[in-house]
Amino acid sequence: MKRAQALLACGFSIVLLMSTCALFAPWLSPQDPELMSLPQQFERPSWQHPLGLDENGSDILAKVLYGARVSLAVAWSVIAISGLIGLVVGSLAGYCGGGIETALMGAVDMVYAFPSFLLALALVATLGPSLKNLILALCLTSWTSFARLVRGEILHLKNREYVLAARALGATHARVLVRHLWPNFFGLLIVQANFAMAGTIVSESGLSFLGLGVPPATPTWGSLLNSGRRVMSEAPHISFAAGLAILTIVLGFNLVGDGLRDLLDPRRAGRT
Amino acid sequence: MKLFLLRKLLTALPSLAGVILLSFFLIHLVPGDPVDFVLGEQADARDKTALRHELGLDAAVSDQLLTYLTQLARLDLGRSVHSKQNVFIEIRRGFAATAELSLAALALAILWGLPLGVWAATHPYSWRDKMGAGLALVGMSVPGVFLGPALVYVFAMRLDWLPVSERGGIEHLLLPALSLALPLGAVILRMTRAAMLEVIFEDYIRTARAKGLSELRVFFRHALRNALSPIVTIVGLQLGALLTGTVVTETIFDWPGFGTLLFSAIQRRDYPMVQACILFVACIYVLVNGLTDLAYAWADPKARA
Repeated sequence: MKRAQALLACGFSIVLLMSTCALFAPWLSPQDPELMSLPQQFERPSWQHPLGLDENGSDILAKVLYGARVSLAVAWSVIAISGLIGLVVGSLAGYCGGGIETALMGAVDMVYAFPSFLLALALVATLGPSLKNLILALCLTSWTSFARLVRGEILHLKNREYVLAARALGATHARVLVRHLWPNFFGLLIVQANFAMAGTIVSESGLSFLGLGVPPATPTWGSLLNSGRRVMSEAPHISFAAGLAILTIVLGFNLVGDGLRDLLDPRRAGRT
Repeated sequence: MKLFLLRKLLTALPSLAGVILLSFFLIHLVPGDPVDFVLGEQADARDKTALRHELGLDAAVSDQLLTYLTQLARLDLGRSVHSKQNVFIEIRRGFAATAELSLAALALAILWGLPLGVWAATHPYSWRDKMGAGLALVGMSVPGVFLGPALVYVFAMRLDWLPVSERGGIEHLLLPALSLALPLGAVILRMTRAAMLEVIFEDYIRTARAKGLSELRVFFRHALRNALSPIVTIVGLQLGALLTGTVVTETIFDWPGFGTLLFSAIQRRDYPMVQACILFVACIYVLVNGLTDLAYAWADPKARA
């Protein structure tokens, strides 16, 4: 039990700290991320510029802070949208059964017939890179895991006696779902959402790295890694700053997911 | 066993049919005129008509579908608009490079993940267990988009031990394979440890110890054999993703693999190539999933029912 709480506290602090930094980026960053000063190109970290400067002489800490805004905003929107879609689709499939279930889960299986990163990449590359398309593509690949989880839990619960009792008392189907079924696996959904956050941030940075993220002028961790890669021998601090930022936030979400899962299911605590 | 295989194959058919339809309609779903995308809007009208004819876009949609399906039945998916080569030749070349990289990465991942997972599970909740779990958590949180450049910086630029990029001998393979193997091995480590913890408190493990078997034999022969099925599943899933191309890693290391082939085909709007690649990805996925089920049935006889 203690272990789970420690994991959760550790992960939650990381997520909270980085989210706060992202939120207050305009106040925290030493200067405007767009500000350039070519003579200071590739300057190493100093007191004035804690993470150094890039090929245009722009401040890297500022870029990392502003990049956090993009990554986190994209990840939050993707998880909110795809979690909601997954919840609705999974509920309909699990609760209604029959033809609705076959059709909905068929759609889920079709998405699963492709590797998720490749699918997102194909979609953004076809529709053209933009914030909207990026979110759309990432949603398309991440709603399925929520739908599967929700459907499984509803199948597991829907014939329990308390559900039948609620129906016998005259509760509508909607009420049974919302009041009696959803609360029973809400925790699991949150656990899944944390792991999906971690995965979405990694995918988003990969897409930005390939030039398929938000428009190039916006600083993101992925585009920072892309420009850093080309000047790796002169200025490794660019890649390391952005890379460690991604690593930290992803680790944070994974820790929260692990800790929360152990807290919800103490019997198997510490096993994964 | 044959029946089991047949049933697995049959359940994959609707998905495959959906993918075939999707790959056909892709060219129609994309906003804009595909011919304009390939040639540019200012292109000569005669060139446009020629390309439209070459892509078969001047026929009715139902006829196009029919032609597409008959071509597919003859395993002829046409030529790349870009290189004018048969798409299969390029796919085969890209896939060979990707397969080499994937199998090397998988081997490295199993090599470090599996023994460490078993080692962590030998003393549950001890310091070595915590170390293993911590290592796994960090390992699976490292994004490939950072790990690749970081490995290049350390091993190629600073230490100058290994070449940076392109396909070649084993020394070219090592860095890209390593950058895929580290996170993958972490996932295997976690899964191995979890699966081992499910079985090591069972009675038959105590029996094996009571018989006087060495700890090594108890863990690898008796415990691991029974903990294998979830590990097999996770390895199968990961292999499917690896074999269909890891675009980021291939880009970082200039690896001429399947992922970059598909990526550039999409960017060039090379429709025959994209269609063939999509079908290929789905087939690989179905095949790998089938093989995973087979391996699962081998690891857990109860699943053969």
